[in-house]
Amino acid sequence: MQLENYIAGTWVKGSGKQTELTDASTGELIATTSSGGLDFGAMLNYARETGGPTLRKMTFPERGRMLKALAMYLMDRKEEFYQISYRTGATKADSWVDIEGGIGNVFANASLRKQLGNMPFYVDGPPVLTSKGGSFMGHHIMVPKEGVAVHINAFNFPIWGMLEKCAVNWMAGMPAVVKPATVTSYLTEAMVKAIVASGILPEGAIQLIVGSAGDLLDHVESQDVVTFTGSATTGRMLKAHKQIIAESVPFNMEADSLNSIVLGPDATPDTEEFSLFIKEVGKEMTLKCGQRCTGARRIMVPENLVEDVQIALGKRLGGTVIGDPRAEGVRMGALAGQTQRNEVRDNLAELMKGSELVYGDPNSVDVTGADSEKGAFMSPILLLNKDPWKNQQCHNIEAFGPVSTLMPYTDIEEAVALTKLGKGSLCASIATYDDKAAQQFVWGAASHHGRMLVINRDMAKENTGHGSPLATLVHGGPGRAGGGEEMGGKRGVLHYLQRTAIQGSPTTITALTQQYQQGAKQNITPKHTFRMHFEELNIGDTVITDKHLVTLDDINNFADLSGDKFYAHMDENALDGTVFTGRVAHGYFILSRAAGLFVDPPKGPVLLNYGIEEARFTKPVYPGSTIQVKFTVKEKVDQEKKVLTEDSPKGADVASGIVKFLVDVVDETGETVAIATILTMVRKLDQE
Amino acid sequence: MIHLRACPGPRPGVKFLVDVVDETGETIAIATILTMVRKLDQK
Repeated sequence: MQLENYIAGTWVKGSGKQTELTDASTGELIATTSSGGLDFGAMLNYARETGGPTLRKMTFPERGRMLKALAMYLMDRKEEFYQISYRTGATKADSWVDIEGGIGNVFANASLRKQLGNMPFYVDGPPVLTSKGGSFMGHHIMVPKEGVAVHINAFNFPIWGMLEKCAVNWMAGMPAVVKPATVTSYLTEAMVKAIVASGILPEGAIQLIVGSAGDLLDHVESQDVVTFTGSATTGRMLKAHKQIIAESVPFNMEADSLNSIVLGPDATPDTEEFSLFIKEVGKEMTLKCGQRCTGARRIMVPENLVEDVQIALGKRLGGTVIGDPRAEGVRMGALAGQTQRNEVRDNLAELMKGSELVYGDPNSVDVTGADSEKGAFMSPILLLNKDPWKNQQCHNIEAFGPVSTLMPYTDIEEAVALTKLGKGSLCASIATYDDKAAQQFVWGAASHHGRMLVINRDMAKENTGHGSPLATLVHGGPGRAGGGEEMGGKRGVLHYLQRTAIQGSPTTITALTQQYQQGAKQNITPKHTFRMHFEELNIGDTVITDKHLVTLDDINNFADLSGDKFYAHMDENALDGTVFTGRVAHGYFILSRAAGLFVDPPKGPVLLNYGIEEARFTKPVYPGSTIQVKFTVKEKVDQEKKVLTEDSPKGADVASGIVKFLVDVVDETGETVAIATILTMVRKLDQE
Repeated sequence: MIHLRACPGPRPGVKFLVDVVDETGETIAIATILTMVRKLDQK
């Protein structure tokens, strides 16, 4: 079988010399592949000209719904991918991370549609009020880049590595070209075939290269984004590519790093944290056969506990059944191939110049259901470096397999310093039940790490683990780890958008952002906005309410009703040293009375008020003041109609959208005394 | 804005989480309120 590239809507077999791809456990030939004869320049243009325009026209909610549909489609077919994944040497647990973790990333990005607004672009942060008179202001919008996201991925996660990036660029409105590592590209190809067959993505949203990247980077342009996951050596070479530099192409690099896991000084063998630490290290060394860029390569323990840890880890690793991942009971499979095993052995030889072997045999391993030489199997290897300041190989060399180095430290300060010898890592963990120690470690070492985990008994049951990046948290790290950052929920999407400062009058900025800006022209509607459906409301539609004279009785009555008898409201003799010149009305009363002014009571399209954002009491209100509300449509967020189930709550069958109203409460001088944004759900005219 | 100039001495902000629960312990409303709190040290 020959793998196929997916280019410009067509599956194409590469010409010329073929690379043979083999089963990691048996050595059997699976397929051949090549990207010879492909026109990479045309491929990138196709993405820019066909996929990009369609994706950019879609709103964030539309892109999110597309991703959700895709994730559901792929999840229904996950078993197909598990069967292929075994051939990469991955166990069921390893594959779960790759397959369901990858699809989970698509789901997580789909959910971001609720955070990114209702437009094809994103309005970034609060407005910047730049003029005293209020006629001139600034803001920021972020629009999709008009290029293509080129993803060059590693061999260890053929599916997750693609989806954790593509989900993000699709959500941002950019198409992708994916170039997986060749050795496991047959699994990526299977997933891309399913994605294309689904018909869910617009034409040109994804293309695939199964083989060499050739001159791909010669064709990137300034609106493109390139991401790379893999070895630091290759990453640095690509980052310095002349076209990347000439066109100022954003290059996000996520490289393997020498991540640390630390046993806290309090975590003695009789504590839960000690057991959790041993379990975590054991998992780190054996999951995915240690082929994870986040893998814990350096194990730091208090100097008086080195022997205890060595014994406990040896016991744990000794119980790991290694072999063909399809065989019953196997917990650790094979490395991705013979080439990878040879590289691990070479790097291990370098590491052993400064460390002694305390567990495992680099050249021999007992396996279940397979031949240990035909398959790329390897025993977990634990090294001990007694003097990690003198013998620095472990801080510089990574064996990308089931290999870790144990080393002593004297106190947290030294542990922090040792982690920094790695010159930047994707992650670090500490097992401790002492939050002071956790503070000292995290605050001390965070500058050199992209993610940090504190393991203890309180979070153990739900701990996602040292090596697992989460879709909603950033992934990446400084220095050796590549200096990049990806994922992180909304933060990740922003990497594919161009941030542009916009300046103008509040009315113009309202038109540009489709969010009402204070000071912009208001449209006083003849009909109360509570009588209008979602589709009928426009940004800037405003109701000016009746007025209310605030009295001392209001304050007394609200105090009785709410129970809030704070001295500033009730005791005029207690106001020395405060900002108040008399008994002041409760801020909550002002907002409550404002609701009494802006609400139009009879049943209508407004279904409910589910919250308040950014409420501020900006000026004290005393008895004798008169308040009035300017009630303005600030922002609209579309929502899809929910699919009803037996468990759906009452009213779930009503199609509605979110409308944010600005509540500007002013006094008799016209000055704002309180301001808030209320969140409502408003029925749609269209109930289909 | 609150008239800070009328306030003698430093007043750092303290944010309180207001977690309103019902009889089952389930959160029914949640908010962060912003307060200004007098310091012991009035220098």
